[in-house]
Amino acid sequence: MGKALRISIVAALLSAASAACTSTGCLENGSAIPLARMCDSATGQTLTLDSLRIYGLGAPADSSLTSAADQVSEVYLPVNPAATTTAWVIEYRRKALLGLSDTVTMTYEAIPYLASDDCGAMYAYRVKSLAATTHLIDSVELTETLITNAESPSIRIYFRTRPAGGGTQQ
Amino acid sequence: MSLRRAFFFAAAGIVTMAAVAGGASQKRRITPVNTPATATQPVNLTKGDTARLHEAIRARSSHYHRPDGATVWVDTASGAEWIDSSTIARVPAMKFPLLHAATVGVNLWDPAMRIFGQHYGIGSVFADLSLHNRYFPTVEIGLGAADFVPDGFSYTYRSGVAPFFKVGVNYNFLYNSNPDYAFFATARYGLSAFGWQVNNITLDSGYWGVTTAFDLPRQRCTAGWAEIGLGLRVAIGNGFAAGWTVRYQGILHETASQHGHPAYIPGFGARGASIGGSFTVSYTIPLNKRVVTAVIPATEADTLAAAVDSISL
Repeated sequence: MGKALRISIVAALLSAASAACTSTGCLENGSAIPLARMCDSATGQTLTLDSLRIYGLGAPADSSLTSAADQVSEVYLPVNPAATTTAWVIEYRRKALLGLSDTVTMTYEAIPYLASDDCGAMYAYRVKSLAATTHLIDSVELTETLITNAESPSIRIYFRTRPAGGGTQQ
Repeated sequence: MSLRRAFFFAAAGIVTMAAVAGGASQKRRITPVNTPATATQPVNLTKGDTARLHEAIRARSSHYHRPDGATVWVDTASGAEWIDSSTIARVPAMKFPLLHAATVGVNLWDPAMRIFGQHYGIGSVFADLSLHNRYFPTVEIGLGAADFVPDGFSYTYRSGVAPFFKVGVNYNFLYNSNPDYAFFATARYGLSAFGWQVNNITLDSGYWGVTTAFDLPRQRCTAGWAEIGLGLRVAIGNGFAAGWTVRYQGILHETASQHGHPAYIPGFGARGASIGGSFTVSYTIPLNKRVVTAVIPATEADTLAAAVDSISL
């Protein structure tokens, strides 16, 4: 009896310890933030672009999300939780394109969202519309209508990489 | 001429008769009747003729009866002993009766874990029925609730008091042993309908320079899950027993919500917890105290029967 009880108590302590050690931490983003991927409008392949400056329209202080030296194929575009529309500006910094920019605009509804015990509570964003100017952008595509803290791309931005007469723009 | 021919045929006939007579004399060679072998073995005993063999053994042996009813034969010449396999009580598949006992108990896991800092769970009661001390169909009813501020966050997660139900079965590996000890595998299906909400969420967006505070409104959820595990139950006296279970669990289904997933499910525990446990104190009511007597383990009986069959003179 005594031995069996001792074994049982050890088993109980082990089970309690194992039950207490089940947290894996937050394996995704700590907030809901759309990840945008740059794509070639002709082929659909992912592009790596340089000489871009991307920032949120109306964001205070140093709001640049990329610098001209960065090689950009994906970029997180922070959403303003206090608004229902957020716009991001993509400035083309190459010499031949100076002064040219495109703007991507997203309209959404902010939804209180509990991701997990580890990642916490946040806003998720249900996208109502997504649009862009078309200087160099061909089109934009929304791959997820509910933007959460998942790390997968939810926006695809398609660039025209070749003018009508041939050659590469970027 | 005819005389010569008659002599020839007569000679041939004599030779033929001599040859036939010679062959017959070989087949009729007589084997001695009384040899050492025939003096000790029944005539025409075959390999499978064990009944006569046993009869011969018994004829020269004495015997006595064991307390369990088996007959033990003793060879009076050599002193060797063996057991008459026909008298050995065969082991029943189940030592204990179908309706063996009923048990009611309380699961103290959540109250105990709250002492160590757990912020959810209330407790549960369960009942099981011992079928042959082997299968234990089980039902469990409990209450769960949660109210806590997660580490590293400022919001409060709340889940009001809600019931949960579990049904399943325990399988006792020690089913033919002392019922005071049980080592069992468990399987459960759990179900709970509950509400949950999150209050005082503060979101600080440094990029946009804004801070927002909001609540996640009350959500309704119905969730079902499965558990498998291993457990022990040990009698501690006067019908009471203590038990422990370690289980692996996973959510099977739940109500979808655009507001995310509940962090706590009554009866399941924290959403991310794939390992759970239980600590129970229970009281067992015997339903049928009949226990099959004179039981010899099947392996022993089979061994003895084989030993008897192998005995030969």
